[in-house]
Amino acid sequence: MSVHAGTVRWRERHVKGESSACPNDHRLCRVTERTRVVVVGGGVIGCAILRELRRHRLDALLVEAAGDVGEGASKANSGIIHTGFDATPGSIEASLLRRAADLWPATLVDLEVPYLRVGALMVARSTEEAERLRADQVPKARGLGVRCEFLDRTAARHFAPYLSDDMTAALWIPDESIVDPFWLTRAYADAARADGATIVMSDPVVGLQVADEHISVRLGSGQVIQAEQVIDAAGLMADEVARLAGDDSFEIRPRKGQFLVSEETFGIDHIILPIAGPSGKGMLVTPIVFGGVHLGPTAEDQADKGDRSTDAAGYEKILASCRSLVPAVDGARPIRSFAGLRTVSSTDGYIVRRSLRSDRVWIAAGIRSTGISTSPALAELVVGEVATARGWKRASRPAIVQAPPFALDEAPGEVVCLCRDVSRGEIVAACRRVPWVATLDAIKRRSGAMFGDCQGNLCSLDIAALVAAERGVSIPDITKSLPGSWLAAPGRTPTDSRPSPARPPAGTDGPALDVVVIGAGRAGCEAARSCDTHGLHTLVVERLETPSVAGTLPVLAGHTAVGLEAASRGWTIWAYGRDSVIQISARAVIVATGGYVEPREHRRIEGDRPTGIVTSQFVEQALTLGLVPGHDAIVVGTGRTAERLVRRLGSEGIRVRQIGEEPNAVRGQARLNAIRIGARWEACDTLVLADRMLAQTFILRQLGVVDRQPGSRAQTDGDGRLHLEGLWAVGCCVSPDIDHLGCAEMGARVGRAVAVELGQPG
Amino acid sequence: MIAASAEAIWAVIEDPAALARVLPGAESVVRDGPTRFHGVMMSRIQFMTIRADITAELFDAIPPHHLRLDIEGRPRGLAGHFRVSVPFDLLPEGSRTDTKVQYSIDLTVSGRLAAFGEPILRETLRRQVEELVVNLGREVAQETGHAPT
Repeated sequence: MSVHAGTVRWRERHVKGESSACPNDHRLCRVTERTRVVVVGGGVIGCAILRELRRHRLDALLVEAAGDVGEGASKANSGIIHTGFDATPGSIEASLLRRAADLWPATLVDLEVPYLRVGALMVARSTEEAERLRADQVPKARGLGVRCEFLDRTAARHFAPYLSDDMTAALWIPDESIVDPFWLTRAYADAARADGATIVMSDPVVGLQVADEHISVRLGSGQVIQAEQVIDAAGLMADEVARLAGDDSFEIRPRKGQFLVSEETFGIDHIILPIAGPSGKGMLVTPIVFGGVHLGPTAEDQADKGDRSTDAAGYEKILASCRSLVPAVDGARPIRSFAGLRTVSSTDGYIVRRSLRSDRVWIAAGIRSTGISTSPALAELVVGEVATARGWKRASRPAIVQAPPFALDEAPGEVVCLCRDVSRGEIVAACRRVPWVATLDAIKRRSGAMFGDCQGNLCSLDIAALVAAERGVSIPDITKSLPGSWLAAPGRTPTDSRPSPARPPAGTDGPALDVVVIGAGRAGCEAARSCDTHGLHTLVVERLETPSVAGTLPVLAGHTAVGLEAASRGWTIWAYGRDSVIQISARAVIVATGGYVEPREHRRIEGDRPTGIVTSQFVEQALTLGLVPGHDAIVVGTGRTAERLVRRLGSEGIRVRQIGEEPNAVRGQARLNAIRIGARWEACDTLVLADRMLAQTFILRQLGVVDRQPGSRAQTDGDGRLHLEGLWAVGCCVSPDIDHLGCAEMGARVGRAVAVELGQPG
Repeated sequence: MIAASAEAIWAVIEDPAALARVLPGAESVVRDGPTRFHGVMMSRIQFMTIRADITAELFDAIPPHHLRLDIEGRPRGLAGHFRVSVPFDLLPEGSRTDTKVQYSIDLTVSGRLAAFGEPILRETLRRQVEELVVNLGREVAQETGHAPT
């Protein structure tokens, strides 16, 4: 592991799922590190404070209990940078939001964070609400220094035609913005680390001992760090950290916010929100910086700080609330749901002060819903107050502390994540950027992989293989996020999972192509054979290295088709392989990209997000790699695929049962431990979904041939033509429920139709 | 607005060598035809700097008032492709020593770039075309000895 300008220590035990007991007797622990400031908590606030400390050239170290920064509320929110237009005048929140508005432009440039100033519309839906907007909200916002404009019904309708018919007026706040919240959090951390800060992951703070001249911070690993100051930015655990120093002046209670994520935008280009209620801002429709929208959040007070489950009630409530603002949301088919836990303090406001027990502990807690928005200003305030209290000299002109540039390998390599076209090069770059982390979630958030329709079921094992290779471990050692969230276990008959040597690209030289078929499944191969039989120069492009049914067809194997573009003589596609990128032109293209099993995330299955809930395609890939998805499996489905998997898993010595209907709930945080069928809980560690197939039409989405709803089918005429000339589709991407015989028949029929249309070879 | 005549601006735009100097992020640009060049272009998309192998060509010339610049390229390190078409109109203003540059942007992306979302890409492109216009003014000023606007 390389050592950078700062230092990051990575705990092996996190990867291997071990835990490390710590001695209870503080005196036995020798001091292993000395620094000026220890920041406890690697959320957006803690990381912003760390960077601010470095801006003033103050030595600092951040300790985080989880395996990565931003594992709490910082990753699970709507990503809004609020202007503070509805903050309580005179509150610390209001003043921090105003100050943050001044700091954001430079901060965003220095950190190079994805960001869009989309503006927000607060919507009134009655005459009374319209009057409240005009008479109360407008002067309040302007009094807080926030630009806004009252729009009557006509003006609001013109501005945002997608608003509901009962909209009576709207408040336009042009400076409300959106950001990628995880990117922001890790950019703060990366910038601080590149500037000399130290970050310790996977090591909780278990003791604080205040002495006259210093404070000792004891970690779970047994390490003891001696510092002049501790800043408690531990989010949900901030009260527990404070209590370690004897301060029990406040409690932090979680308020759960469930969200839905839709790839479809419904034409929404601003944040849409109702008039705020007592629990907060209400449920919003919020554009996501990389596309799609967030719907939510709910507001549910609970006792359990670890419960991030979602449920059917939350799902329905979100849809009902958001569709009342934007009726088109009624057609939403979310690709996932998630829950974030806001930190609500018992004092009902921000707690930004020294601890009541010692001035060597400073508290930045209870930042309920504006952590992201206030982060640069809160960091500035906290560091300023601490430095003043300790008598430290601060830089009169703080240093510019920037995130290191994001470097990509020259060669992208093969496409690993199909939904988002993320290549091997990007995954490897993400791994190398964070050599101290080996979880899938860490790579996911740094590469964009696994965020799309399949939610990782088609690619997570490939990505795990790359991470494992980079870290010198094996796939079973890779976890999703939490300790114990393993993906797959060794099978009975391990295979050599090293990639086979690349096959030389075939079929692109020689006579110009008449037909390119994307996908060497049954339908694609039959279509190709049919075209070939009619004398058309045909090539099949297939992402698998060894397509099983292609026979003697000319196949460009191990290459993924990326991008279809209309050309003067038909179509152009680019095929990305491990060592080559090939531009292919043809008179016609037949899309035979197949389907994917509907993942859990699309379904209304209540519970948290443990590993072990997978689709049949994940299982088939695991078995091919000599792995098993788990040890005690339940397979959902009654078709041939389900029955084949039951047999194969059984032959691997796995306990396996088969059910016809999906469960309504799951249990487990790191790893699945039970599912609920009806009212009955059934123990298992693996749930295999092998029932419903969705059309895989990602390549057509960019052409606008299909919409962004998950599983949108390619709409063809009886001969397989799409509405764009020279473009055809066959198989599961047209009809996901089709069986193998139907695929073959459709493929042959469409191939003949293509041959008739093209006539003689070109 | 550029403080130069349409003719002076046209002389820069229709010269691929001069155009390569004003294109933001253009690196190692090589002319390979009277209206065409290829090379490497660097583009900063907020959170990432991307280098792309590009081919650029000038079309639809109606001197000295209208021209279309088409650029297509493949980003290094990412799977995907882009094509951008920018028609320019040079409209004399006032005493004909000032010229208003009007343009629109037609962007097509595929692959990984498409996953970044259209709003971010359009914002990046808008910024780059604005920078191109500023660079044009500076280039013309150097050519003519007048101060740019």
